[in-house]
Amino acid sequence: MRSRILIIEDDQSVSGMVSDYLASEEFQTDVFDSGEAAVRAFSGRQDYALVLIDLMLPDMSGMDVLRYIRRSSTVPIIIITAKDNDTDKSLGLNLGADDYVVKPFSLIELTARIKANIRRTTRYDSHPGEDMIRIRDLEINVTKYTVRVSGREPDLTRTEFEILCLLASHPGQAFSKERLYELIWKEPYFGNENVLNTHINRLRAKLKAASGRDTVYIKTLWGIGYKMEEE
Amino acid sequence: MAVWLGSLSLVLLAVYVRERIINRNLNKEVLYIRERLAALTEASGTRENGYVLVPSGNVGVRELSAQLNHLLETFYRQKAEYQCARQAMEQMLTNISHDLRTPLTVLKGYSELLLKEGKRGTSLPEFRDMAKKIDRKADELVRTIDEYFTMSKIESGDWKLVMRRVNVTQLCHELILDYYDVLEEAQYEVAIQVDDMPVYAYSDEEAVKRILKNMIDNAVRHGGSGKYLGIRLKYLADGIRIEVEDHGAGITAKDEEQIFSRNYTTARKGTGSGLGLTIARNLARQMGADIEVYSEPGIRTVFTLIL
Repeated sequence: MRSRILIIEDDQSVSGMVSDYLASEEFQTDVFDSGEAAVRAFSGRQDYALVLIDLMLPDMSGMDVLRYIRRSSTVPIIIITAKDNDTDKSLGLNLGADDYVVKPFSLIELTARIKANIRRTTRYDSHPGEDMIRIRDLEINVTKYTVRVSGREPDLTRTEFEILCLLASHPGQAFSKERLYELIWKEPYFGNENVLNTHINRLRAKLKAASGRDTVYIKTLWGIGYKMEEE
Repeated sequence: MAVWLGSLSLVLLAVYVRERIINRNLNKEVLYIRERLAALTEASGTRENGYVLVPSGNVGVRELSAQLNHLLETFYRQKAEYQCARQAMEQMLTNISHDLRTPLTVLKGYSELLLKEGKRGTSLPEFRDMAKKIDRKADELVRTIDEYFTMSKIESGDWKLVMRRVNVTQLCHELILDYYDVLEEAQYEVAIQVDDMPVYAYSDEEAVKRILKNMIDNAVRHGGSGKYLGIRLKYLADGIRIEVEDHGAGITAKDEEQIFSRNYTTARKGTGSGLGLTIARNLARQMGADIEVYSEPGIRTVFTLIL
């Protein structure tokens, strides 16, 4: 099913363009140029996969729309801001936005952010209440802590699973060893390279054994970072 | 005779005393004017606009202070006018930057759409080239506007440094990783000598990021012909050195003096604002750091941030 995106932007040249591009990326879009109409549309249907909203709207502030949507929904929200200062960004994020882009933004980047945000929150109807991440032939059940690769289930430790889950929910994004270590072990990295390497190597070996192929899922970047390969 | 001499002495003494008093008062007034002017000079950067007020019996001193006050008045008026003009300039720059953002978003977006269509093979190769050129120029425009905006922010003192302990090892790793896709696709030889052990520097994280990003951007944009990018972190007794090396065309000794000055660029006309390094050095110096350049044209060029 094609994901439906709610776009709230008063400049029609921008909304039209974003909408065209997203259509070419197999998204459905509903475009509104005022907060009032968007809020009404949002209350009307429950199937939006994501909301993209410009903070500067003619009738009501984008912040108000954001607040309204957050009162009843956990749908991912990306804000668009034309301001250079950080106040808008942090205010938006504090009000519950998940991500932001600053004008002028790249459509390629925006699309990547949209996909990542949708992927992070997608719930599949067949298993209500279960978070799944699907990437290439990996199926990661975030709720049950299980992974299926080409139909088989490798037996991963908790840490290995968390590493895989983190990288898979941000495909293509580079993580430095420092950041990865801090996010998984929740403590600062002091060159604990062996610990990280060992876990990554074991994880790779288990995925390889399960898939029976030499597919590179996790790529090492110049020896200083890792990323999940997108395809 | 004695009486006469006595009264003459008395008169002379009286005259002497009177003159002493006048002289002392004059000295006091001159001293006061000097101190007042010193205080006003000190406060010339603030909003305080004071004058020199000397209730003197001396016509010369009165006229002197009147002239001084006249001069001060002119100075204050011009100061106010300058402040106004500067604020108007800043406001205008903010407006320009803001008003250009929306059309630029559209320009950039459609150039990407064109490129995407081009990659799917639905358009002629020359159209693809055109789309690529438009896309590049759009990127350049975005960068230029951003640089002018940053420069004005720094010059107006709006860029407030937040000095903290910053893990520069991690910062180097993460910055260079941002370039992974670009550098791999262009088949660069990338040499990273940044030890895993964290090294900390007391500095402003945003500023360090901005400076290093500028150094890497330059190495790719101006030194790209060498297809080499080196980044090294050295922890020495007298400080931390972060070096970015390229093997491109390099910088001649003549240019070396000028690359840090405003709007100077070695690149062809219209390929950049020439503000990048000015911003970088400006930020570095505000943090008490500095940037050095070493170049053997055609062999290697190294920019060093010394923290």
